[in-house]
Amino acid sequence: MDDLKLAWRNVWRNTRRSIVTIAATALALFVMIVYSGLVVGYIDGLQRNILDMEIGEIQAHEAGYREKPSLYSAIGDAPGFVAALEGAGFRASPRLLATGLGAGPDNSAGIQLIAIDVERDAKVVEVSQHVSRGAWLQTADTGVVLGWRLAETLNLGVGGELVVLSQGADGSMANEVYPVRGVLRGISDGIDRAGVFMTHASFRELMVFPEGSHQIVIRAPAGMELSEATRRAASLAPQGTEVASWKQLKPMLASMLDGARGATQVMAFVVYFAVGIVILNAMLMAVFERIRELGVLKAIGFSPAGILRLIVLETGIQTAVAIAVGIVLAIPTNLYMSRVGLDLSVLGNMSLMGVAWDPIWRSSVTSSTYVTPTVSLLVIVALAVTYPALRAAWIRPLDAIRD
Amino acid sequence: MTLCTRRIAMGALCALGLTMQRPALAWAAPPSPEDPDFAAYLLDRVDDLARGDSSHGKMQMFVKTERWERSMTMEVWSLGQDYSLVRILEPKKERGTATLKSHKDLFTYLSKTGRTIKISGASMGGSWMGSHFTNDDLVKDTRLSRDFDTVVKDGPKIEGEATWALVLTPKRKAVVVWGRIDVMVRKSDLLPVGQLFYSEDQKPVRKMEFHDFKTVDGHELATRIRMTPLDKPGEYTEVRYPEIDFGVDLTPEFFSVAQLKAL
Amino acid sequence: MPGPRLPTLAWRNIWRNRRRTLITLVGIAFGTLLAVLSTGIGDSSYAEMIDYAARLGGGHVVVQHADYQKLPALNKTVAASEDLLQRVAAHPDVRAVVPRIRGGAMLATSSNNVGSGFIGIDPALESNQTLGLLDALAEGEMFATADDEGIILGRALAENLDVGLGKKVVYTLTNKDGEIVSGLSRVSGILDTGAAEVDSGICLLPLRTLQQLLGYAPGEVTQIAVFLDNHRDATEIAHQIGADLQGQLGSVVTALPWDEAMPDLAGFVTMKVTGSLIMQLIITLLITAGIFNTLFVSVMERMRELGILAAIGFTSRQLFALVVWESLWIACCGIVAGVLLTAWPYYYLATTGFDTAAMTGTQAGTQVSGITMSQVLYVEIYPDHAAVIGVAIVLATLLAGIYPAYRAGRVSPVEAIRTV
Repeated sequence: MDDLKLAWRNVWRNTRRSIVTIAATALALFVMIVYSGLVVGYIDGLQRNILDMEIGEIQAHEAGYREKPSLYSAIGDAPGFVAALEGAGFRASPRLLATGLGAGPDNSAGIQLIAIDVERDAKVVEVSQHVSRGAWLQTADTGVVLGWRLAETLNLGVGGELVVLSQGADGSMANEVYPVRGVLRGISDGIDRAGVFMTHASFRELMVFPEGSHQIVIRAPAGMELSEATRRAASLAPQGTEVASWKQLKPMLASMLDGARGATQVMAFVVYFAVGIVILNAMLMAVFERIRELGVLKAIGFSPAGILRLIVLETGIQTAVAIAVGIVLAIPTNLYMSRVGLDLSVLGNMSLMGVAWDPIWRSSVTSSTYVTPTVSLLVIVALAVTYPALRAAWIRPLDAIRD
Repeated sequence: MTLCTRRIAMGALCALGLTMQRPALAWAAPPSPEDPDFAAYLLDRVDDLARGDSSHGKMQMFVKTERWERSMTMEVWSLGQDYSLVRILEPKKERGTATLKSHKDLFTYLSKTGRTIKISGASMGGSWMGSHFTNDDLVKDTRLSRDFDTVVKDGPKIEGEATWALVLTPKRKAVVVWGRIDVMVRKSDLLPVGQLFYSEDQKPVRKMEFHDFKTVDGHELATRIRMTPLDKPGEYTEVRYPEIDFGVDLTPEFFSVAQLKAL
Repeated sequence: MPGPRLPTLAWRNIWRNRRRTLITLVGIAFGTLLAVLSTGIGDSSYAEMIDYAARLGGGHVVVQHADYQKLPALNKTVAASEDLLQRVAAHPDVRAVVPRIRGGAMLATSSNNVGSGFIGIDPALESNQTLGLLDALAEGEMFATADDEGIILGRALAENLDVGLGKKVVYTLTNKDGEIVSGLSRVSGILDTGAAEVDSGICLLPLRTLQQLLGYAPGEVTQIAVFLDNHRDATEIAHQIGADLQGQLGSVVTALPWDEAMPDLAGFVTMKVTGSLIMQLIITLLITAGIFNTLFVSVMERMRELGILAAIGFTSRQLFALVVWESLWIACCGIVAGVLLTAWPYYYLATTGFDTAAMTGTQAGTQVSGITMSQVLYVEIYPDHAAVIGVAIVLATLLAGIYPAYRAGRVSPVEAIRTV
């Protein structure tokens, strides 16, 4: 205890020096924590963008549909499957898909019809929140919502009318006029260029397609790991249905995310290295500036071990205070960054590999956002202080005093 | 459209006149089979329309696919090769829907919604009125004698009749997707009874058959035409002409978008 | 007062406490190393990305019809005469100028018909430096001339149409007068980029063949892609070319820098750049803190010595100046140390680069629109960025010394000497 008291007094005796050292250490920790949050937030943001917009976590199709999409290739007993999934804690949105010709006042273009169960769909993907003009579909809506590029090509805006021509399931010429309820922001390349969202009811009437769904977009229950969730969903699926996770559906996106994670690890290494240098500097200064005083201590009888213990305790105290300060500063910053984040929308509508980007960069904060940097800091400090501490412990008193 | 992915029908069909079959007029005496111009003569007969000839009549189309069967009754007007108007009479649900061809422009009028769509570019590959024919077929401009080299052979017996088989190989620069076309022509009256379309690998992809020849207003024509995609077993489109008149009083102005709606 | 001048005194001062000075210098040197390397990586990947963007799209600068950007169509053209191309190529920074036609067509074979986008190119003028897609030519070869009858398809497209090398493909498009025209082509090459959108939706056609079919005048195209030595000049060169051409072609023609012609990609690039900028900021901040720390402590520890100097007659202004000079000397030595430390790693990374794939264990490269970004990171710092780093370090060092210098100036000899 005596040592501790001595150490404590020593630290505060030379207030200025201690403050500077503590400040440097605290800043380093603060930077590491905030950076950690931002970087994880970046990756999470990437992933969320991909999944939340359009893909969901898991998708189910009738076997063979993905290779050769066809109106007739629908999942058997889709309602039963959806019910089973919801019973097991999943969220599911059945969708009906078809291609056709869409026409505006003076132009026509190929379109992709996507019919949704409005309520279920809103729980599974976030498209409904990305309407740039007008509004999303209502539950029993007779209108449509268009991708923005399609709306431009066809020169249609909110309130305009889209003429749809396709071939019904019975071979008839399916055609209808739909009021345009809204136009989306950038979602994904496919939807932007050709996406037309409508309700199940509209689709079934247009295409003479009373039963069946072509695609079910699924979200796993909170906390369930992806491959486990995929397995579970597959076990609930009717015969002949293919259930695949988003990583299997979009392997390139998955590998891009892995690449991004790797890149952030490299960057983290660089940041930690920079921190290490700062700490090293601080520790070196902290010890060597007091070499005279430490020499005196040795002269009056402190053993090397004693000196070592003293330095360790003092460093420990300074570091503890620095950690406290760093964390206290980091908490509100992280809160801000995770709630509000950095708004990058000045950079415009962005898309990467056909998927639109959420321009707000938020932090993802978990306990490891705090724990990892703190532990790393302790390690760095320990390493940094070793050399000077050992030098100080073994210096000959006369040399120290004379210095 | 589901049928968008179906294969293309033959270009010659257009020349033959999907909307209105071009009947063979009485010609000057044909050259003899040994004459080198024989082939060209036959092909021109196949290709040639009564230029400037107008017609009006009824057409029935029956489409059978793997998933469904459909019958339609249509009213048809045409003027030469550049103009045609086809209007659906049955089924009642689609009555009034019409396709207008004016030179190389194609329009579809949808009666249910009262809208007219111009078929452009990429949608040319789409199926016409739900059949195995595509929009492109109506508009394409292939001339058999110009685009192909012909060899005349003895053909198979079709419906008891002996035929010439004209084996057509596309010229190097001809803008045709086919690797070969066989045109079967009856030896007796030199009327075409069948066409077989091959891919570049010499695999038959499509077959067209002409039946039930009649003479109307001095024109000889097949009143039943069947188109069969050879890779889709059981599927075909069959077109019949129960009624038809030639030399009808029609002008190019009749074939307009406004007319589509007025009818 | 006479005696050694302040700078000399300052110099000797800093070397008197060798260890302290060396610690500070090491800090500065490493700081410089990190700053230069991370900025270098950032700069080079930024440049690389823009080059990719340029090779994917229309070049660093795109010359096209004024309305083309808003609603691309085959009847909005630019007359790219030989003369014009040469004039543009004559600009000092221009590396390559290629005329192109872009549009949509329906491709048909005996099996199927599919819609696709096309790029009409002149093989004599293009290389993989102007068209990134050429890297992905998996089978067959480029057209021999621009009058060829070849067509190069994405692999998925070729499969959809059920064709291989040498087989016929009929392409149909709408010409300048709104008429529908068709041309015959034979597959001369297959592209395999691995990106679904490209492999199933793009084909390449020979430029002059297209011009004839479309009824264009010779030299008429929809875009002229201009490639520069240094992408940073894009905006300026765009203006120059634009002004130059106004006279010739009137206001229907505009020259756009790549970020206006391809706003999507511009957004992505900017996002990555912002990310690395933030990184650099963090690092610079840390380094500054480190320098400040050491400098500050070292000065404060010398209060006694400074007190003595004051006692023997140094004025406060002189003491202030003394400390400032010390900071300056440290800054200079720091830069030198930094350069020495950085030289070899920079050289190594600039030429050999470092393979992130090995580090992170990923197999596939990051793909942007089908063009794989290299997994090997090189460094190549822009000269002005390097200058900024140098200035920042010097400023940081000076700033770090200001407060201590101020305190030095205010030192009271008696009190200072009394402190142990």
